[in-house]
Amino acid sequence: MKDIAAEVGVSVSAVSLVLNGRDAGRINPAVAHRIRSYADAFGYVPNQLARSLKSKQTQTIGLVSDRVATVPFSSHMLAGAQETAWRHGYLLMLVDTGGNDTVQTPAVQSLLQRNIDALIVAATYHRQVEIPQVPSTTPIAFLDGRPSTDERTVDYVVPDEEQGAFDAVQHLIDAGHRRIGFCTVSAYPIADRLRTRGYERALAAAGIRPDPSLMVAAEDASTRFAIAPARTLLDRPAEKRPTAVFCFGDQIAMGFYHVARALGLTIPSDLSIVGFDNQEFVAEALEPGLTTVQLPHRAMGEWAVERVLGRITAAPHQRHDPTGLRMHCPLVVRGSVSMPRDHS
Amino acid sequence: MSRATIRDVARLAAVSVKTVSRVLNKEPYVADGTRDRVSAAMRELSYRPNPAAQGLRRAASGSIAFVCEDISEPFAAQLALSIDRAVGNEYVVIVASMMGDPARERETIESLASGYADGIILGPTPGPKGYLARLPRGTALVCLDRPAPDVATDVVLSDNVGGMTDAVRHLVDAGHKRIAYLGDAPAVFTQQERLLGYRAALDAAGIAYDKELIYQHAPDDQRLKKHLSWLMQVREPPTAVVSANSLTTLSLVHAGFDVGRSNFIGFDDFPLADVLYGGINVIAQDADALGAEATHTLLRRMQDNAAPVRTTRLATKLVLRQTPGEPASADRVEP
Repeated sequence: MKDIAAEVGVSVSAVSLVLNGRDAGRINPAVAHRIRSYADAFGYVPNQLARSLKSKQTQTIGLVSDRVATVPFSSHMLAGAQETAWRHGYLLMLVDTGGNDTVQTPAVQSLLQRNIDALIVAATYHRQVEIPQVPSTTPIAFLDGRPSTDERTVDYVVPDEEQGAFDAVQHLIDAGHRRIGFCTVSAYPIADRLRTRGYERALAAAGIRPDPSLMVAAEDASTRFAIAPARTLLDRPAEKRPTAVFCFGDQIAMGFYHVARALGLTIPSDLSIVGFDNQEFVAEALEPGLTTVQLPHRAMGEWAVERVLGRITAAPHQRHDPTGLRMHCPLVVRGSVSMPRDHS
Repeated sequence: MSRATIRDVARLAAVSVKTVSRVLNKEPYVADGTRDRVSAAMRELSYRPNPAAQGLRRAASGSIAFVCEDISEPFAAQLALSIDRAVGNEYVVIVASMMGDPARERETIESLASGYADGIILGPTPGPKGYLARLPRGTALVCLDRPAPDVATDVVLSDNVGGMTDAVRHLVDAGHKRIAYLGDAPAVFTQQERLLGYRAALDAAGIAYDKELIYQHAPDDQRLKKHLSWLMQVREPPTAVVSANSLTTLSLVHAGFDVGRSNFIGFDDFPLADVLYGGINVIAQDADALGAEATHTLLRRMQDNAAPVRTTRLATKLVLRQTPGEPASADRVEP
């Protein structure tokens, strides 16, 4: 309001009267009109932050998600966001749309009614997300999703899928593998494309020609979908079989463990495996422990909250341009990778 | 015959749907004669308004809040999902985690009750909650999982005593007499109930309660690990273990304890417990039923804030994923 008052050359209380619709008979209509047009230009929405300060309401960050709360897998994203908000004196209010896109608008509206100070839109997996209609003064960030339109319009953070896949395959190459299989999952198109690219790029960098017969796909990411592609890849003569496999996810890797065992193959001496996710109680519970790539969910949740808080506290001219961050996915080494047999 | 709708009522009373709606919502501007005619039509058709649909009309808030300890925990997430399902599309469910902080909880609830949520489902933190009795009129509140200690509200919870009794009885029947109890801090309501269940099963079997076998601390991997080694050195080490919540079970996993064995049972099921370590024995709470029951209780309370409060306890289920073998020797309990 101060900015508008300065711009129009009137008092803050005059701006307040106009924007709260109490100007009739008090303020010159021409002045009121100028105040309103400036308010629109500033993207000023009736006073959410000020109102919430005045009534000493809890400061809140709203989070709309598509099943994040209900998929245990993403709980670290929430935990990271929750704890960071908390540390800065904000409460995270979450609305889960249960993956039902038609609910997103009422969900966002109900959060805006709560005078949220910022909005985070979270997806359960890396995908495109529609930018919800919010007042331009409400900072917004996407968590594990990228805007479906212009990438530069909103802050977002996603895992660096390609780097994670590259490092996973590089780790296998470093151990001496050349015949490296890849089992992707077609249900997750963005991650599928980027992890495939990471796999191919790592092979190319090592001068290994990709062999299409070593690339298979599972329909979905849970273990039962991995059994058939694992058989395709592993149930063949030793010289045709890969000595190592990079799996799209830890549960896919679990399927490869089952099939390898059924075929009498020992991990890692007959078959090295690297997963993706570092899913709690899967990667560490497998025997031997699964070497995998960490989805940096907690750090992503922390980043999204830091980002919107930065926008709340920074003056408009100090705000950075929206950033799309690809969060580094670190390799977690356990016991599922060794030198290939024909190498020793 | 299908259930009467507001349209049927309007047709029978020969008024518009809007008029029926006005009568339902006790709005003014309805002539007394018309009001009587609508009421008579409702009685004749046994018409009952759909509480969820009513909330939709009262769209001022249109939301229900689930105020829990930590939504990033699997059990809370399951509850949130079942609440979401039970309210349907008429309400938006807002979830907030209190992380065990009573001050934050109070601030949040008072803020929600000042018009942002029509009803609140609360998994209360420990400690006094007198302010809950002074919420703005018309804010319905149901406690889920545990009651607020000093305020009478509707409560929906699991039969914690019965669930733990079943588990301990199962171990006693398998020949165990020394059963270690590992649980969360004793201030936690569910933990008190579950310890009662443990004692009840021992009493019923004529086995003396031994304080030495009882561990009650907030989850702490290192502390639990030390306790496990200590347990193996007592004069008569335990031959079986029960854990009183999933956090303690997960803490056991972190401490290197093999939870996939027939002489272990943990309270609370959790994702992948059916496949990890060859399957883990658990006392499963029915999250779907708990969330649905809490929601229905809340919607009833939103209809009638004067109804007497009630406590609903829902049965748990003993899920045995490890076939019981011989009574285990002491070394099999060792991590």
